[in-house]
Amino acid sequence: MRRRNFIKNTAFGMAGALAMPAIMAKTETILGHNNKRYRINTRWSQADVARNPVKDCHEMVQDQKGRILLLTNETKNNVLIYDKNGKLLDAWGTEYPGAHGFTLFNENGTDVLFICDTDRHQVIKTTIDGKVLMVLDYPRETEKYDKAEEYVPTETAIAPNGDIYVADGYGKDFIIQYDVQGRYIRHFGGRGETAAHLLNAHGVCLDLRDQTKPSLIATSRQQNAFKRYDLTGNYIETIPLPGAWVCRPVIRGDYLYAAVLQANSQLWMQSGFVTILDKNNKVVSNLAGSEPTYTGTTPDEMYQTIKVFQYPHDVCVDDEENLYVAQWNSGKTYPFKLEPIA
Amino acid sequence: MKQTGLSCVFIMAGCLLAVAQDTFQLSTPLLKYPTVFFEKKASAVLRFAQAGTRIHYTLNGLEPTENDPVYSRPVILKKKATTLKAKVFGAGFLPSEVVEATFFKRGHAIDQVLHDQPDERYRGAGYATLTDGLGGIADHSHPTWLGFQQDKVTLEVRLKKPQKIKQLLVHVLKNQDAWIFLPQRVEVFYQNPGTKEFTWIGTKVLDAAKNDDAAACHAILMPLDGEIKTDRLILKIYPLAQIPEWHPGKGTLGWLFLDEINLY
Repeated sequence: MRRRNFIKNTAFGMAGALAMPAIMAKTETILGHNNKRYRINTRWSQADVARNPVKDCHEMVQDQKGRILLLTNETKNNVLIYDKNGKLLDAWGTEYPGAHGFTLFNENGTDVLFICDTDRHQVIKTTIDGKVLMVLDYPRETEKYDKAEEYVPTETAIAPNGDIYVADGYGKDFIIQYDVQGRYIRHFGGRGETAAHLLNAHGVCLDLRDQTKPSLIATSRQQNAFKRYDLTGNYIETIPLPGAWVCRPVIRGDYLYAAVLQANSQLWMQSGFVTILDKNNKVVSNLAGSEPTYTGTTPDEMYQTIKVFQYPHDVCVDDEENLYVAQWNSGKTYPFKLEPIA
Repeated sequence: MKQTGLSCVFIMAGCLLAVAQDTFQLSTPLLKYPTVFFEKKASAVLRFAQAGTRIHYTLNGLEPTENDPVYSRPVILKKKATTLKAKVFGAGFLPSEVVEATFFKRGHAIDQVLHDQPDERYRGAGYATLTDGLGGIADHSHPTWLGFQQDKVTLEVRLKKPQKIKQLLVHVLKNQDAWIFLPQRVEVFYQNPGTKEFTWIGTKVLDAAKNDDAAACHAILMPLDGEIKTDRLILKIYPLAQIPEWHPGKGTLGWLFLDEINLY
């Protein structure tokens, strides 16, 4: 990647943005479509780059105190903890060189974290301040793996009963299900020719929007699609998203949000954007991407229209509907914040 | 009081700079076409679904400006070789980079092209790949491409009957991030229909090691050393022998990707 970086991240800019008079705010860039439109703040993070650097910013979550947690593969501080205004509150973690997947679960009132480490070939469960509670090694019980290196977990999702689903998104693309104690239950997905198979199973999440039919949504990134399964791994449907290299699905309220790493039409050219689907799986908004249109029931090919993001990798939606976007391989930029426009 | 006024000016200046820093650039429009090779005419579609923007395009090889035509319907191309260039403009954004493709009228009907075995991952559509009229998609995984990683690739082009030939087109891919480079040299020989002997008729040397990060198709157009009449040509294509220092693959052989041959 030898491309120019159009987004500068400076402390000076932050001060200017705060003092911006209303009349000048009219010139700012509004991203998105329909009822999902946002104002972007590229200078949200107030972290000192000398003290708290980042490499790839892989994923973000919000805890029950309202704090925003970022996972990066910078081993000086794998987890940065911010308030919603971008003030850095705390940092921890030096043991996660392949820090990639980051899931928060409220376990009987207590927040716990699940980290997928693509270098360590492990999933690590920790407390909110980083104390290790459990480590899941490569799933030899599946009889699909000869050694740890074949297993490169990218994401976890935790069911209400505590079952753990791990997506081996950079390994063999299986979804592996464990119980709350970390005991293997089953695996599904994997590579193959049928609709139930996955290709680059980069993310996974629980979909509890229909309380009567809880389901699991997995990413099939190179197929530009999400795939839905029941909680025992039976395939239900494919949600095609032509052109979009979707990362993990993130559900809040009636909507599904996903960072799109890049567009098929401009591979490895920093062509990412963010997509938002309603509860009927219809794309309603693309932030810095093409206005969603449909031919029949399938979206028309989607692509980046504004060079706001480079390689967005995750979206976190906070309790006030603000979005935070973390980026991979994007010049060590800190996350951006997007505020909804009423 | 005066001091306060001054600092207000500084804050205002800071605001202006802050706004200026978030002036984003538009991305390139989608450019879609089935192939860049055509018998009578080609058609290309441009798309850019972003309110308040316009696609301007040219067919004269120059970079589009806001004075050039605004795209509204598929562009029809009929001339022997035409380059379509397009760029998006819109209020409040920096204009996009240029997206482009060059379209070629097909030449003499070629009976077949015999060639070395390509790499097993990049076999295209088999022996018809270089003569099927399909190509011009700058994605090396597209099934229109034959991929080779060897120090010399030899092609034998066979026509049904002898034809007068003035020019030859070899259509290749360049994607240095994927270790695909232009070849460093192409040599052409033709068979004398009477004596059956092969004679040299043209060489083209290319600057294959030049650092250029855009993935793009490239047409190697070779004028021949005088008009010939033949039904058989041999092409010897030499891939880049040593990838240069600045590339992660330095010192190794560059990949060669071919999708079409045309004779005019």
